Amino acid sequence: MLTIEGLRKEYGAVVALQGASLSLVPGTIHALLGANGSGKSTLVKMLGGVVRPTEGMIWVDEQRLETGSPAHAIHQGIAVSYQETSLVPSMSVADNLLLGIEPTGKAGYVARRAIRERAAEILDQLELNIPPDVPVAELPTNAQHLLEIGKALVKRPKYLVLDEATAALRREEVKRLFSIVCGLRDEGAAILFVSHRFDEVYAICDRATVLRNGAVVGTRSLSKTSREELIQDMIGQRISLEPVRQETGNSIKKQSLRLKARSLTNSELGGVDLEVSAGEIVGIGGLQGQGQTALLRALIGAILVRGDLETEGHRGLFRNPSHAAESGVRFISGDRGREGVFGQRSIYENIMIGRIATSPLWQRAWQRGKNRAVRDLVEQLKIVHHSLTQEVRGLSGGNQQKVLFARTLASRPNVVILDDPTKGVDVSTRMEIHRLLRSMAGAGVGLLIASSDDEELAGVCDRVLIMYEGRIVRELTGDLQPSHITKASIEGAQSEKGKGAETRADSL
Amino acid sequence: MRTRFSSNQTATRIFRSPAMIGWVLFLLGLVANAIVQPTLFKLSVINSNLGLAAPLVMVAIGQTAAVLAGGIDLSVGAIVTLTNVLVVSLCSFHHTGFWLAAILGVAAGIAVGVVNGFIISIVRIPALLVTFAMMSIINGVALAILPQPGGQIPADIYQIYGNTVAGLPFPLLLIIVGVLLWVVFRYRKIGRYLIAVGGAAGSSRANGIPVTKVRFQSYVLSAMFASLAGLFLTAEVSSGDPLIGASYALNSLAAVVLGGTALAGGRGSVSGSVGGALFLILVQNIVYFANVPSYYQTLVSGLIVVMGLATTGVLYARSGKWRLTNGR
Repeated sequence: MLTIEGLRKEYGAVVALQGASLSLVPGTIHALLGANGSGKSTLVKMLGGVVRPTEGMIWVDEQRLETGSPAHAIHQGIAVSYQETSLVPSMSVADNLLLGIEPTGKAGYVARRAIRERAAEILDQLELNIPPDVPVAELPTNAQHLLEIGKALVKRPKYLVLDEATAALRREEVKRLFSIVCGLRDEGAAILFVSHRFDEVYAICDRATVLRNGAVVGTRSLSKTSREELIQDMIGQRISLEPVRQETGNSIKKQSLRLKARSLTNSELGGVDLEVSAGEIVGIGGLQGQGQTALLRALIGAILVRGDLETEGHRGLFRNPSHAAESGVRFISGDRGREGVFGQRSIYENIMIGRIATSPLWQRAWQRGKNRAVRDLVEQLKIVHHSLTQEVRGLSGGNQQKVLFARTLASRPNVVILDDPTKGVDVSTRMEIHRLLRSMAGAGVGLLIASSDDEELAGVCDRVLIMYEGRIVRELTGDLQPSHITKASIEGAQSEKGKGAETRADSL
Repeated sequence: MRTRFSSNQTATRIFRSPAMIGWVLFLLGLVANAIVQPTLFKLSVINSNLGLAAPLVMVAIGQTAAVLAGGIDLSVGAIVTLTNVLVVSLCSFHHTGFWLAAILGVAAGIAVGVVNGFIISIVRIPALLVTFAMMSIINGVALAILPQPGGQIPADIYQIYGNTVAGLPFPLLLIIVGVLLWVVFRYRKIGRYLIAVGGAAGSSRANGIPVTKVRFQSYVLSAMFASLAGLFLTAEVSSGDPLIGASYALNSLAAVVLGGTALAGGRGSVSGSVGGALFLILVQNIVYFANVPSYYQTLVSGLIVVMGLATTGVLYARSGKWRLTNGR
């Protein structure tokens, strides 16, 4: 049994966690829920020894855990899969999997064959078909997240902590992970499962502890608790779960075309046509990995593509993302940490860079008087902060995402392209972001949103395009229902498989 | 399914390895050198070239350890000097036996690394500043020990240096010993952890790697190889000079970068650095034998090195291609 007693963490004047207590019982899966900034990640990092608590202690099987020491935590059988991963990009898959716990021979040399064997074992278990000696940096994001999980599994932990482990995974990968995790549970391990996805929590967890503003609200048995009750615990007030689309509705008349793409083709795209009008939100759905990401990146010139593109005041494909930005086409990546925020810079700079990036290089960058505009944006988006000069990396994930929106708004875009805009964001921030998307559309911006979340697409989009194998196979309009989108995604896959042979023959 | 990758994988890995660049440059340099200097492959010429190369190779190996771990060591040249002046002055003016002097000289060099490592990893002052300051301090100490060039080591020592042992040039054996010494570290945990810490210090810490200790050790390793280089250099030139190591700090860095190691740390190999160091030695040969007027020799050799670095940079950019992460 692992028991956390009154863990408290202060960063200067900010209290990230105020006296959290919970216990992990062997043979159970325990959910940890909470809005962004509620202290979940801090708690997880303390379990892993990465963060040293200001107060409180952790007991592992009646023994006191030496806090602030990752090596000791690992030694005590605690393995953590971190939300932001703890991989070394330049090292190989196998070396990463056994990083820190390398088996050594008599002379102190690392047993490389043993490493490869253990790595192959765990890759097999995860059904990950990747060569073990490729550098991790070359893997796609979902494979990296699976490796992060594999790195925890390889330690054969008594206590496994999964922090948002499923956020970057595909559906079938989540399924596989769950069967592994349930296997571990049956063998007597205790698992702490941190997630925003209620379906997943209900699917595998026994109990749930909810954190709010750094404090434990309560621990509940999930079989006796409804989703609404959990959400209420997390938010502290009743909220409506109504989709936001109805508020502004489809009343915006189609005005001028903001973006028009014709037969975009590359190795991942098989001739995509699409149009986005002013004031319209177009969703891109489908099973994951059907070329959605490639399409977004092709539109902004981040990857090579053939075809034609037309936007206001510009005709032709963009050479690179900055060329797109100059023409008022902005991209918000789903990978906040690497392609979004400048973590070590201030909120102010992070927002202003959106406007500065497209102005001449010799123009004075930080002008007085711009403060006001930034302050308005920060207030409008309700970004929780204590100062505009605060480093962005100190903000919670949801607030970092809002900073990206503020940056985009500051640049007054014509078209905004978003990849999974609410990934790893809590329920209430998610609704705020949806409202914001609608209001941007209301102001005449054309939006294109790719999301793996059909509820999100149904809730916020005017039309949804379903992709399959790099092509748009269906278009859904009118009264959008999540189940329709899911169905169309699966059906698209099936109908396409039938005629796959002839289309391939055609393209030859 | 996994086996499908393995057949062409070894080839791909070698070809894409950053170390390749260092060795390709070395081979190109060798060809160019052979053209301007037909006697290049005579044993005596090989011997003298390797004699010049051995110290730089050693310093470059040590520098690689520091750079891989995400640091830099500018004090290596001063350490070379320190070992040189200590060994020579102990031998010539204090009548110490050569081997005792050698041990003391190397120990002094390693001590400098210990101080570097302590200040950088525990006091947490940037490596660039610490090792730069240490360079001045140790150069000053060297001047105090031996104000003017002079002194001598026993003749039998420097005679071995110019000879062959079992048909192999002695300096080549020294290089092999240096590389083997590195291998001792490379395939232990420390070898991996240098790369891990240089590649992602935060991740390394989360995985229980003692980051502070690894950083500390990287400077001790760097100093150890530098002082061995100082010993080799002493054996080659057979006398002491308080300015003898001045060029090694930057040349070793050039060798490291030419060998495809990222200055940011975490990526690279000692093998590449060895290739890079040999290339640098060849460049000086080429410029000399191509009858470049002596006024322009440094200019031309500098240009060649810049071209080499540019090649490394371009090929690097291609192998570790920048790309926006693709969702799949």
